[in-house]
Amino acid sequence: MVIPLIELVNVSKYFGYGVIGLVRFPAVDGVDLKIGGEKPEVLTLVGESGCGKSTLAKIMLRILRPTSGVAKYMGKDMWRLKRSEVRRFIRDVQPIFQDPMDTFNLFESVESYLISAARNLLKLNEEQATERIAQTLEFVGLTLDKVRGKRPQEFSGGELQRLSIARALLVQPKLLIADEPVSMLDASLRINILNLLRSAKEEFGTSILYITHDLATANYIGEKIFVMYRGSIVEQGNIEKVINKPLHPYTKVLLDSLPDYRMGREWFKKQLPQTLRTVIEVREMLLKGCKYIYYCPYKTQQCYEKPIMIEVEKSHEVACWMYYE
Amino acid sequence: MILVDNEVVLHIDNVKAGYVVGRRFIDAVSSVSLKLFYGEVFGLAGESGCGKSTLLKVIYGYIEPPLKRIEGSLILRTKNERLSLHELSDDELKRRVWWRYMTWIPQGAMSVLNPTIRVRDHFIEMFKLYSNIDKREVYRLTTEYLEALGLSKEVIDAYPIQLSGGMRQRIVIALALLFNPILVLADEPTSALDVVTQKILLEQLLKVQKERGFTLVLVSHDMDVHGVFTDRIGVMYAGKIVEVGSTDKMFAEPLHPYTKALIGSLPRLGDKSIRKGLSGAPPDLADPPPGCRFHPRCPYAMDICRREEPPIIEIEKGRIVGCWLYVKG
Ligand SMILES: Nc1ncnc2c1ncn2[C@@H]1O[C@H](COP(=O)(O)OP(=O)(O)O)[C@@H](O)[C@H]1O
Ligand code: SF4
Ligand SMILES: [Mg+2]
Repeated sequence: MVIPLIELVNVSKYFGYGVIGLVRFPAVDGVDLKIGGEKPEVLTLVGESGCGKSTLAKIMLRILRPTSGVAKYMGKDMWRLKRSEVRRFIRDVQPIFQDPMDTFNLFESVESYLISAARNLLKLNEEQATERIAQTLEFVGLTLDKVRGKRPQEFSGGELQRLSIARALLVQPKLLIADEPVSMLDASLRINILNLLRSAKEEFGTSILYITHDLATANYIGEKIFVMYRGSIVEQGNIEKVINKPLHPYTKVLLDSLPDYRMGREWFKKQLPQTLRTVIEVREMLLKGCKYIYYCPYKTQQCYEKPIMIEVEKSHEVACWMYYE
Repeated sequence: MILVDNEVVLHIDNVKAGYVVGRRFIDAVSSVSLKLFYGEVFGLAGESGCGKSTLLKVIYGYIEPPLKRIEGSLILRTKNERLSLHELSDDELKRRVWWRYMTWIPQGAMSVLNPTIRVRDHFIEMFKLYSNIDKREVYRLTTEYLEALGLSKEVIDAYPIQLSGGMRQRIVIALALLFNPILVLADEPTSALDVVTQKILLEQLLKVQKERGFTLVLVSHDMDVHGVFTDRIGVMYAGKIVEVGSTDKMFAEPLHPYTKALIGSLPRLGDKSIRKGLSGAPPDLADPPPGCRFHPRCPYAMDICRREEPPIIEIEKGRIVGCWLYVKG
């Protein structure tokens, strides 16, 4: 058994809400997850905004500490690492954020930021660092000359996202966690960044966790998918299997809601269940059982208990009582 | 879709408008001409910053500094009159055109509903301003409208803050349709919603549009939304409309290199084949490139493209493109 790079064991994260944070709801609720085995892979985490994707990403990046459960790095609790292990963690697991501006310092030139990142994390001398940076920039389609002396504000959104990918790849991490990296970019530029992520796996042997609300782009670059709904993973597995044969009622709805120009007005003939039209409040986040219960046309008494993950076929699992035998 | 001129609801002719910022002029709507027809759903597509929202503001006549209209005409044809919108004062627009004939749902409108006023009172305020129906009738009409959009009576008594984004957006739409306008301008009405809520909203919007037959202009940066929702599309790039055509034809055979790139770069479910995007980025509209504004990014650019602006030509009935590749001779 290979030790996964990152493993989450029954991880939850609660946030307070309401006037004085009296009501606490789980943004992430009992998630089990393993990332990074023998081979590099492109994983995708898909769900609507507010479902807990970013919170989960921050837990995996060791930015947020879980309220309960254990987040492990190389088999050890992330929050009980030695200082040297933390350094290795930072090298191994690199983030790419939605807004590339978050990656850079507004007052520092991009070049000097890259150089200090390379030197600090890799312990390279200036010359080696510059060479490594030149190589990485080339991979993202930029050159040192184009970057030299410029501050982040002087780049377009697309260029800046390339730069933040270069910054992340500089240390040749084992895993890139990219949270909605293209949602702020225009369509004609979006695909270029996705292509970069796709080839980063081949070129650098890096695994990618691509986090998005958009199934079509997930399908474009991903091999494996996790579908998240209100804090929990509801379906996971090989992306082709999940998309061709969605099991969870929510995954089905998500797929039927995705507009596709190839269908034209026919798209409206894919009816969504009437149950989706009901009015529901945030309180459902506090549910102990299946979070989809209010919308689900197939619910039974059993659904008031939290569903367990069931392997329905090879590399295809679902957390729904319908598949429990 | 038959495109006959006497079915035109709005004729936009050579409209130029932009933002005056210091000594710079941001040329956001650059000589745009367009006809909108009765009862159609017209999609305005293009990437962010290309001028879609500005064009909508100019059509509506909501022109506040730094926005300035430089030239051009806008003729609105109602059943009984022909209104030269560009000649009307703000006051006349307010009295004769807005809400009655034409409504505008600005980008992010759902977040401007007053959170301290009950949904029902938003409607009552509107009625007070624009008609003299009594309160009971107002309540009845409000209920009727909201139910047509799939909302319950409870919603009417709620405060906007208690409602989800999807519901607030439906209320904004209900408000816009209150006086049965002939032209509705909706700016990215579903962009802030998740896909499931988006689908429900689009479904309902299309249903009322069909029932009442108003012309709907939908601004969206999402080509897939255009593909399923609209009858015709206009594609904007850097302040110009570069292509117009029926939705079917536009997707089946895009003409302008920009439209081709836009459609060609969209990933499809169940298809992992490599797609290509465009290089570079859209230009600064305060200093657009000479000739065709797309030439620095265009894979087909020729000499003439760098020097002269391409004319807008009608390739076949209703199929319009502004690109030198299609100019014969
Ligand atoms: N209030 C404003 N002042 C100055 N420039 C503006 C203002 N609003 C928009 N612009 C500029 O006008 C251009 C067109 O913007 P907009 O119409 O909002 O595009 P879109 O709706 O297609 O995203 C952009 O360059 C934008 O930066
Ligand atoms: S006019 Fe020239 S540069 Fe512009 S889109 Fe056509 S071919 Fe490309
Ligand atoms: Mg806009």
